[in-house]
Amino acid sequence: MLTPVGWGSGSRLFAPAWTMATPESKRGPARLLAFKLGATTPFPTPPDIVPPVPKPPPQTASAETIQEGKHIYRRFVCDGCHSPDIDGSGAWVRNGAVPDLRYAPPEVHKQWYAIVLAGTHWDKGMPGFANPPKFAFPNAKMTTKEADAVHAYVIDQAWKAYNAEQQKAQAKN
Amino acid sequence: MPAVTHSLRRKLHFAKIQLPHGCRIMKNWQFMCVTTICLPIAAILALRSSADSPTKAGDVTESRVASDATEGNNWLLNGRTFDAQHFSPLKQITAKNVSGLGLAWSLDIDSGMGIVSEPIIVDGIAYVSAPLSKVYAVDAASGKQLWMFDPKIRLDQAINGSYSARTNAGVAVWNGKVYIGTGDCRLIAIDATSGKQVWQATVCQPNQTGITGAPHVAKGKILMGYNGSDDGVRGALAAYDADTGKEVWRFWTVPGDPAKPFETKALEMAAKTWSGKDSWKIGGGDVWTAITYDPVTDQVIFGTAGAGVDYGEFENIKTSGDRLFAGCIIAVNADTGEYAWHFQTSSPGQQTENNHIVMADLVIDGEKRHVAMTVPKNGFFYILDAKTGKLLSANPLVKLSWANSYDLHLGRAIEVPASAGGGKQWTVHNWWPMSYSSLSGLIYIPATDRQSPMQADPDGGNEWMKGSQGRLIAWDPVSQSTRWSVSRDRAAENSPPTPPTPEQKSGPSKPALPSTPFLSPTL
Repeated sequence: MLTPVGWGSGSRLFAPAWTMATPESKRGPARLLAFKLGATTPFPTPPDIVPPVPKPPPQTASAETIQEGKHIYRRFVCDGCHSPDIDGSGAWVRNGAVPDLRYAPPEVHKQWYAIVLAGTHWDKGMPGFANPPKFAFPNAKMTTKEADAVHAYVIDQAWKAYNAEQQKAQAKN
Repeated sequence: MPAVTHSLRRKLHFAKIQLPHGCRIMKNWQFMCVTTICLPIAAILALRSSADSPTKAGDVTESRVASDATEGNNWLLNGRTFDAQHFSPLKQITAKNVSGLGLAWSLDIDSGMGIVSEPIIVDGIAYVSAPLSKVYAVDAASGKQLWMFDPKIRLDQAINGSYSARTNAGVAVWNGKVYIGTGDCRLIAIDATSGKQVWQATVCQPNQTGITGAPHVAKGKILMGYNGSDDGVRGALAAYDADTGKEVWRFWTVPGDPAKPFETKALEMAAKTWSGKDSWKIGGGDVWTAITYDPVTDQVIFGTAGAGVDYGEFENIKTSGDRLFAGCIIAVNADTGEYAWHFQTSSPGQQTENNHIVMADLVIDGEKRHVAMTVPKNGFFYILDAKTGKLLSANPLVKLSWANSYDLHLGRAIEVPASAGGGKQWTVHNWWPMSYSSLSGLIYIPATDRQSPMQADPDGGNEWMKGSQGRLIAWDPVSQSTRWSVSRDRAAENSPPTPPTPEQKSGPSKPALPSTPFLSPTL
């Protein structure tokens, strides 16, 4: 009996992590499993090692801006690929994955306008929202102010993840 | 899906969350194996090495499909047989020995997303697609990868294409070739032996959308649809010559630009059911993976998604009417693509996305009928006469929000008024195929049930699936009732997994039970 494994379909992108079998399911492996009567091969250890959340840039925006960024994130359907509440769209490094923005490295934060507005990652499937392609569902052009607000929201979510991880590590020690 | 608020994309996608079959199967797979049916997208096969077979790779023909139907050593088509019953006749694994199943092998696929494709098994070789429309040929006995085909899809043409590219539902194999639809709108034929491309055809416009569905086969033709109903793309099902890639026919599912002539007479009829200025611009009716070729009637019977984009560049377009052939089951001549019949599975305001269609012969009201059975996202189990499209019966699979019964005389569902909480509906059954056993006479359906009403996110976001649970239902299609079912809550909702408990069981010879405890007395 052969079965493909891995939470697939678009749900991996647009669904909150809590709808998964386990919160880790979004990071689950892509693999084929073959079963046979009497077979005893041990289950493979998942190869994905969750990297630590990189220290996000300092938060300089107000709480209002962060909240506004959350709404803009939804209005431009960022959550369609990057997941509602940025709670994990899948993987971090793997080919074909939509990145989890909480794990964005410092370069991404530095190039925020280039990526989000100008579309320098379009070859990876991320359009530039200053001038979105035809058949884009958001019927609007994103302004630098809006991009800043979304950035503030992303940084906020990243800090939450970072702090949670630090607290967990401290509790362990 | 019902027209509620927010974007249709949300509504359609909202619906796509259910049992995460992958990890679930791995962790709780005994749940999935309480019967000896095949898993929704898993293939049961005789694990034979390809070396056993002297035939050429990918040797799938009509005669082989016919001979393998009873042997079951292969899984030659999506659905295994043309009737798409997804049922294996193999008997080695039984309810008694299923606990003795162990892992024979595993193969990791280099992908950031999971695999959702139905494996096609031909002479000991499994053909599986993965995200970014990659195709893998794997020795089913050893798990050794034989070849991998990468169509090198472009992600920078449409947001929808970029999105579609992350998911692929599988391949078709026919007469030595493997077929894949890509996230950038191509249908590609690959040599089954070498893994090299033979031809490619453009199915849709890559600056609009992409393909996630699996190609299907009918009479030497490859059938392919594409995504985009929730993004203003005009749907179609197209048939290609399996050898050459030449487009043989194309059935547009909704009318196009009224300034241009109708492509078919059927569209002329359909156009009359659309009203509202510029209504044609919203497209709709995409054909995803619900495609069945029925040799008995020589028809291709397929399902479409709804129409109803009310956001983005379409937010000011108001449409009304039946909007055919969105939200329909449609039958066309397999050779010509000519319209035969259609059946709309929901009322116009509640258009739903349709899932795969299973053909069978049933005795209904003492009369033998060749029928098409389907369960759209809206949760009704429909049985149609395959030749005429006449609705023979319909009943809700679980207690629904939007409607609670179907009036055959009126020809429509009895809807729950909005004042009584109607109008909204979570997806009861999604793309996971259902399986029909002619031995038990039951159809096994992976579904999503819900004990509590849907709750809106107070923050204005998505109405997600709080309180929902996965349910495997054994359904008696003749009596249109549940024979037994098992359910699982979502582990991620912090509800500890409970052991699977069959709620009701009775042998096939006993009279069908009218309902199970989870069904409300109002049904």
